[in-house]
Amino acid sequence: MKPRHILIVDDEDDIREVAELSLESVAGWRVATAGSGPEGVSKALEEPPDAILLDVMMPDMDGPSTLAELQRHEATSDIPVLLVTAKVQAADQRRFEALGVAGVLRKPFDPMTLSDQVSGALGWG
Amino acid sequence: MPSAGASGARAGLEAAIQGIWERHRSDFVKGVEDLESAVGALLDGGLDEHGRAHAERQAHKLAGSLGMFGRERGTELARDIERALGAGGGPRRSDSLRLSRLVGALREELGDESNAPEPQDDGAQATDGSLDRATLLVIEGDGDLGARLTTEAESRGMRSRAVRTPSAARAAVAHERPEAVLLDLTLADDSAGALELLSEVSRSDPALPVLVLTSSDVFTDRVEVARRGAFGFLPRSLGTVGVLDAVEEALGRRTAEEARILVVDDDAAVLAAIRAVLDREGVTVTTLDDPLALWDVLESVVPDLVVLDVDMPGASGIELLRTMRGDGRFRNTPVLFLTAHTDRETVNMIFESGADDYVPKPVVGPELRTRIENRLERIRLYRKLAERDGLTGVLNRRTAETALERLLRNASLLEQPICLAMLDLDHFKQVNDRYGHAAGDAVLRRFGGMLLAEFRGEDVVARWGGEEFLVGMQGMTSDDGVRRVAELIESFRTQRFTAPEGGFFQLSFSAGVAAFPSDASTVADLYRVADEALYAAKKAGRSCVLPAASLPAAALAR
Repeated sequence: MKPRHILIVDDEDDIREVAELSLESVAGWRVATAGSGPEGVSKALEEPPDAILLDVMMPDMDGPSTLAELQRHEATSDIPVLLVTAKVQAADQRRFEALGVAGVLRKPFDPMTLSDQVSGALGWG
Repeated sequence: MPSAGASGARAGLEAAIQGIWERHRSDFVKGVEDLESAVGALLDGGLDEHGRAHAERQAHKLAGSLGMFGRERGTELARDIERALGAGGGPRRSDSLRLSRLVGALREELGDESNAPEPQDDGAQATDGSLDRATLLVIEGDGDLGARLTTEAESRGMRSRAVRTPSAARAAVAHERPEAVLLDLTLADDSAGALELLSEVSRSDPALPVLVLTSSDVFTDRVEVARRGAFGFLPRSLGTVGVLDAVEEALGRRTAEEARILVVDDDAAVLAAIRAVLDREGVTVTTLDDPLALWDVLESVVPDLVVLDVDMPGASGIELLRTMRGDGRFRNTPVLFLTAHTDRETVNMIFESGADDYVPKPVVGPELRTRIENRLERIRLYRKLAERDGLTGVLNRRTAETALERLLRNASLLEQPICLAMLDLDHFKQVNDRYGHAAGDAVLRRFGGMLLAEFRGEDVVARWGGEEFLVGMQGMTSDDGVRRVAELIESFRTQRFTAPEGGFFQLSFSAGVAAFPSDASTVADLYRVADEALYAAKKAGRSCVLPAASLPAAALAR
């Protein structure tokens, strides 16, 4: 079976690096990364991944705007998106869930179990 | 799959994550530094919306990252900071202390910054070839004064070093363990950085006395500086000689609080071994290999405990002890013998000569330490009993009077103000009558504890009698004192005490404040005037503080 392909969109270098390392070495997935919303959208259009991990708080084009852009393109509108956020308030969580995402992951994540969390949220066996 | 393989992969991932941490660590440190600047600006009343939003973003980033690297506490701290910065209407100045504590703790979570290479051009100047232990650390932005101070320190036989930046200072504190710090708050135009540094250093373990250099042309929020644990204030105008005099005094007094042990043995190897066992925080060890010089050294050291070898050429330990016991000054000094002979005859002789205990040779570290600890514990206890109020742990009146005289003498030498506050619990008798004396004692204990937590360093905290307490604050004007006491009144009022029959009760206190030199120039007059102000505060409805300056002149003239 072809390995899963994940796109990580986050403006923080350290988070991108840890997430990429974690998903590759723990789950054996193929990982692409993008450091901004626009870059994430263009990478997703180039090579649609199986899922996208999308940071909420990014300068200029934030997570929700990036999500709207992805939903606007036919090639990417069906890709499941997991929002990743350090906001912990329940109200924020509900607001994000209402945007039509597959799930919300909390930052900081545990690099040992990140792939389990992603699989769980997406219903991957 | 064998679990060894899985755990090996896990270890590999952990190592790789550690690598990412190392690579980005400086970014996290930078984030914390931004938070520190924001707290500094908040303290100065100058944190604008742009600065606040930037700091909030930094805290948010740190919260999202640190836990990923196993630093969950860092994430929690950053989250608290983010919340405080983003609270409705932004943080208030009164939040700054809490914020600064959080940010300080966060910095600690990032690990020892001093491991990072120091820039060469940090203004560090060693005045001693060996940097292993500087006695005095001078942290000063204007290199010229720093150089003059270190030169003066050198000429007095102190080791000394001057640094110009907070990061160089942190490294020096971590690696060189100075015994005292002189801090210029106008450090490189970064007063917030200097304040943060003050908090860190004065709360380091073991605590370091930090003397703060002040300047008449720069406003210093002395209350804030005192809260951050400054040991005392020194005006720059004292000049290098005056400043060093004050440093020596502070160091001397600190040494006086330590337990002094004198060890006499003709074998240098034994002395070195004992020193290694005993030398640590709170203990000063003097060693002597010539028993005939004992008398001179006894008089100069005045030890709390003497360790004597029984068999020494020239004079036996037992003879020396007999001579000691014949002198009134050393009749009660505890003496412990080291002996290779533990036959009954020798042991009897040891105790008959007036020794308190003995340790068989060869000396075994833990045993010697335990026996000496037992003695020292008792000495400290007796000292404490003689100086402190048994119930509250603050100084008793007799000791406080001496301490206040010293505080006033130094203040007048250093041309610094001092502020004296008399504090009296309101309606305390009713507490005793209604809830019993145990409840009353609990109130006094907590009140004493609160005062000890608030006033440190050179400050004097004492129970003056009954429910009346006294605080002497070094470097504080009347206004400063009123401000500090007013805040204490606020916080004490909200404290709850448990009533014996269940439920709780609350009470307040009133205070009067007088300052030197503005209100009076002797301890007796300061006390009298502060007491007048206290009386006026009681008459004004209690639960308030009044300065002597607010009293009608007639009241003061009495």
